[in-house]
Amino acid sequence: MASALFFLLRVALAAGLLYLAVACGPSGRDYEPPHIWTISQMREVSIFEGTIAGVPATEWITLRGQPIPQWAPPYAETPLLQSGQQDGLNVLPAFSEGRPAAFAVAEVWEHVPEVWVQPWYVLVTQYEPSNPSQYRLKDSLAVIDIEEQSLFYSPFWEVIYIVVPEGTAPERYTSATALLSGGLPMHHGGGLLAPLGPADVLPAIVENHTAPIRPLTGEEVGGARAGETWLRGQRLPYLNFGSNNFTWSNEAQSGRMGLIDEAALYIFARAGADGEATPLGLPAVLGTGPRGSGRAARVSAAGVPQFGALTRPHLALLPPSAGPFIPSTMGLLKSTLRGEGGVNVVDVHPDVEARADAKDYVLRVALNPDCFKDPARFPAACRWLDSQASVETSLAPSSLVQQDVLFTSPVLFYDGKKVGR
Amino acid sequence: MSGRELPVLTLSLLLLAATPSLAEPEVSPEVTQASVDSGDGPPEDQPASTSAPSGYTPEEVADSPFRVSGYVDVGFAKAQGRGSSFHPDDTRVPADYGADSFAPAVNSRGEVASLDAGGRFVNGFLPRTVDIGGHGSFLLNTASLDLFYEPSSAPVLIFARTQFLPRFEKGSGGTRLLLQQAFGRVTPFSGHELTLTVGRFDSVFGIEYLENESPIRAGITPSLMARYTTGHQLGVKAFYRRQIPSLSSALSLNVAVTNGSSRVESLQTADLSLTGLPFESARLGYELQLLRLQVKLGMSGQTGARNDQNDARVHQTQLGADVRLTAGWLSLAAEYVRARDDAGTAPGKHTGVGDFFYASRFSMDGLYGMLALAVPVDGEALRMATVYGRYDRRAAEFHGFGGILTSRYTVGTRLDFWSVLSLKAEYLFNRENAGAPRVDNDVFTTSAVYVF
Repeated sequence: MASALFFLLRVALAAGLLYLAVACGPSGRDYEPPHIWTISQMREVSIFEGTIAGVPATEWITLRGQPIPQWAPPYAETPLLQSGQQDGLNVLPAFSEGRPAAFAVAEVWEHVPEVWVQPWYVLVTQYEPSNPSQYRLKDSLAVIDIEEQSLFYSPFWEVIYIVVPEGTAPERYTSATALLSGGLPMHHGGGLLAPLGPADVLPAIVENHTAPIRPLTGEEVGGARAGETWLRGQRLPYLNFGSNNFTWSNEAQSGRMGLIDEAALYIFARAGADGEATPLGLPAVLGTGPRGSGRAARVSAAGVPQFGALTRPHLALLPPSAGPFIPSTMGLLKSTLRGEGGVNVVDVHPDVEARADAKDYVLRVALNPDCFKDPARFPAACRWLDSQASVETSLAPSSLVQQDVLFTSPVLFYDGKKVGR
Repeated sequence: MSGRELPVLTLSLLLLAATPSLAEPEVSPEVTQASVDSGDGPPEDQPASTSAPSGYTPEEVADSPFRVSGYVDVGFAKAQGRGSSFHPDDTRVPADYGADSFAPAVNSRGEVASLDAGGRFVNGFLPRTVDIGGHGSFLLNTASLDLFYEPSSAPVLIFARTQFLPRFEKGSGGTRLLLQQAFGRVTPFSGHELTLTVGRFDSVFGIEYLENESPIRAGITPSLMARYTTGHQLGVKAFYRRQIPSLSSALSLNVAVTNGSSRVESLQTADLSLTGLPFESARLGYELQLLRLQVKLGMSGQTGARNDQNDARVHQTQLGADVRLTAGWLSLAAEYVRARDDAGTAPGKHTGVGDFFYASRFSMDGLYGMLALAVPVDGEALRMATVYGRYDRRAAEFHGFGGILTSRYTVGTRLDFWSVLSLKAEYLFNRENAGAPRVDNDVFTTSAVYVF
């Protein structure tokens, strides 16, 4: 008996040593855990002046009463402040399909490769296909079933209208399970972009203004509306950026059904002496589909772009000869880019600056900025980098460096018009 | 007659057929009770209840160190609705987080009637399927072949179990040939119940793995806990039991160091370590062996790196408690399981049925209890008649997704003829109690098991 116990002891000791040898060895690959930076978290990081995916959170969120980076030096001589009533999602100028655009970064998906659409249940007493919300159950809230803490959380919802009997109490259904178990008629609606988040973070509004505006040009852009929804009996706040402003896959056989269609976002950068790419702070180029997809822009009948709400950033390394269109009124920015940025900044001809449409070209990048000096040939002679197609055909693939993040990026301005509320 | 009534009626007829034998007890039930707790492999694979003979274990043949045995399990099953737990109108994703896809099981392997999620995204918390949907179908569940080599000159057993699983290609993944177990076992001391096993063997967690094979399982389908406890493991294990005759008792310890956990292979593979960190499992058992009463108690635990992702820092722990009680013709078995899984640190989840998106943080608490009445029959052909009922309850939650609470009532009967044939019929009443939408996913299933 004693020998058997002794033998067992030795086996246990050997197993323990084996375990220690393995457990104390190199841990292997060092992973960055996947994380969804929600609006609440982005604001928190911004308060503590931290970074998200290597970018200062203040680039995306400005706290109330603070200078808005896109309206502060070197872009403007005098900084403009965010409204004191709310915190602001910064309105980021961009170009898309050769026209000025603007968007905001509402969420950052770090090391999360894909995003799915989730159901958003709306209670109606009758279903009218031409206007599904016409018979919405009075005082009822929408119902969702996914929390922000889940990696399967999504701000991209498919609206599903559920027909409940007349006279149903507005708080009768507060969970998806109750709705599904109720065997009620359902009708699929379109998409709704609505990140969950606090009601006091909305697209940035400059102090003493009533609506968000696009930096550089000052045009009014779309906003968002705060609301509340049910999540398993709990009320949660959300921001509504509007409907039918994204698309998703319906390919059931490929296993991609429900995947949100993403678009490339090209952020201009310059490779430093150390080889590190540094963003230049120029307006990004908002694509219409994934990199290399060649997908045409999809725009709804109401002029709402159905792309760009989920973007995958790429750093686009500019060749030394390329340069942005900077009017003489932005002298500080010119000197900054020439000095610290090492960017080829060409002085714009006064006749070009005087054009009525000159504002549409502010900070737009051309491969041949010498065209800014030639009023007779401007803008036709310029080889602009202002669309996904032009970026992808003009820059070498090795100059487009994909980042391991995704942005929830509601488009607020497109083709000269504000988008959303 | 509705589709639901047909299986209930059939089950009732089978139960009636078994009834006459209930009044004819002539064989002492203690004789049939296996008192051996588990180590590994068929010699110790004894049933948890009195009802199941170890029928397919071959007769001892002294002359040859080689032995061959096996069984064939043929069934007929029909599930309600579409055969899956996925509600047709539910568009939440992942689909397998908001329903229990393991519920509509049709055979002893735990395979379900369907995994049709309507094209929705799933994230790898899935069983295997026979893909019959809501249609009734005959199924060749398993054709199993066991090979033994046990030389008289050494205290060694070498064992391999090969299983043929014919499946229609479309949704089930196709026919498989499975080397389910392969191990060598040494009994180093002739006077002691100590065995050392190296290879791919049964789990050491809990008690339900003892009934993995259909000839041994009293009923047909596994419990809702089986997915956590009945998987096979690859590594080393040691089993030791100490008899205490003065107390009519015994204590046992079963420990294993393996690639992965006791989860079934559709959830976590046993075939390799994805993290490089060994997984540790153990069960401590106590047995009280009286003439007309046997009680077996056990506590199980296991911990290690999740073997469905690649980071050794991502852990999984599982605790369990089990009890078995046998008194006369009655037997009771119950088991509680608690599981906690850390979240992965990178996208990527790798299971026996494919690669998926992400290993979410997960928690589960569940239990089952099974009561069986096994009546020996002195018939020409019929040797044993058993009726049984089981209750299962499972509360599970993937982080950030609402928790679900499901339960199941199972009733069934088993008739054993000669020592080579068992006929079983079973009805599963699956219930979605909270968090998951109600769905028609009850199952009627039967099984004819031939052993050799």
